[in-house]
Amino acid sequence: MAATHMGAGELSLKDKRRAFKAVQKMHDRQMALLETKVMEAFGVDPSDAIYQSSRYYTRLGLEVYSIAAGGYGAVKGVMALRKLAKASSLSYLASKHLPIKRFGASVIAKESEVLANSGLKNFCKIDAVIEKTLNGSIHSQYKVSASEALESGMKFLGANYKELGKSGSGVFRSTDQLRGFRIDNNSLQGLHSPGVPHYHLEVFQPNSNKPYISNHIPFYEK
Amino acid sequence: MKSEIIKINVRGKIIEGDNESWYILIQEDFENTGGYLILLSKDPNFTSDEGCDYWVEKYSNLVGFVEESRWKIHWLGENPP
Repeated sequence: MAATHMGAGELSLKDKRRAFKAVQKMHDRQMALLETKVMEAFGVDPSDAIYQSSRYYTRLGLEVYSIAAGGYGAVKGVMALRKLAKASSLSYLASKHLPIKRFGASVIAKESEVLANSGLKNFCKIDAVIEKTLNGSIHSQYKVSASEALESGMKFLGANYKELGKSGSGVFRSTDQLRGFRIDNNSLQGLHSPGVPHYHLEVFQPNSNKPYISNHIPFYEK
Repeated sequence: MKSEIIKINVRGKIIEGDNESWYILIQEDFENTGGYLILLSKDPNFTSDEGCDYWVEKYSNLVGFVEESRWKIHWLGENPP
């Protein structure tokens, strides 16, 4: 089978169309499978217009999860997240042992107050978390919601990320292997320092086993 | 070069390298992630807020991680309760 990354000049228009269709078909198969599980977990009506408008632009499993978590997770709550754990490629957000502490509301209120006082009208916490990570932060000053955690991870990794370890590990690496997003079960449960549910954005040197930056970012259920 | 002895589920104290004088505990996390968790803390009981954690997929990555950290570790005893 022709590799999809072959130089454009090596493929005829017909070949390119054929290759594109094959890739599209593979994506659609994966999407259909994951989507079914997401809908089961969240009780999403597939004909729902809001879901479909978001779904239209979505190609990857992590993104399907993000839509569901952002749009429906808030309504369905942690039980749905737990169910999803068994289904999605980002299963650890919805671990069966998810013990997210109920400090979300006070944190949100406090941060909102700080942001309001700071005069930053267009502040984007996701971008701030990524920027701080790239600047070497190891303990984030920001606490984010579960959906923001996913969104920041997805944005940090870029397209074509891969999952490491066993399926559902919650450990993801960018296609160039230089950026990591880790939301493993142990961190998710806050079983180690800093003692609260957190995830990691990590930066690696080429061929390195140890990230030279590993930002611990607390998050809360929302 | 002689590679550092690595012990799993045993507390150790880092006597040389990155995070010198911190404590280390390496855990198998095969059930969840299929890899190894490397926990570091300033506190020997790993209850302090001052700590961090890393993850590697395979034992060979763990060996590489220890080498890259330039660690010499004094292994202390069993896993804290």
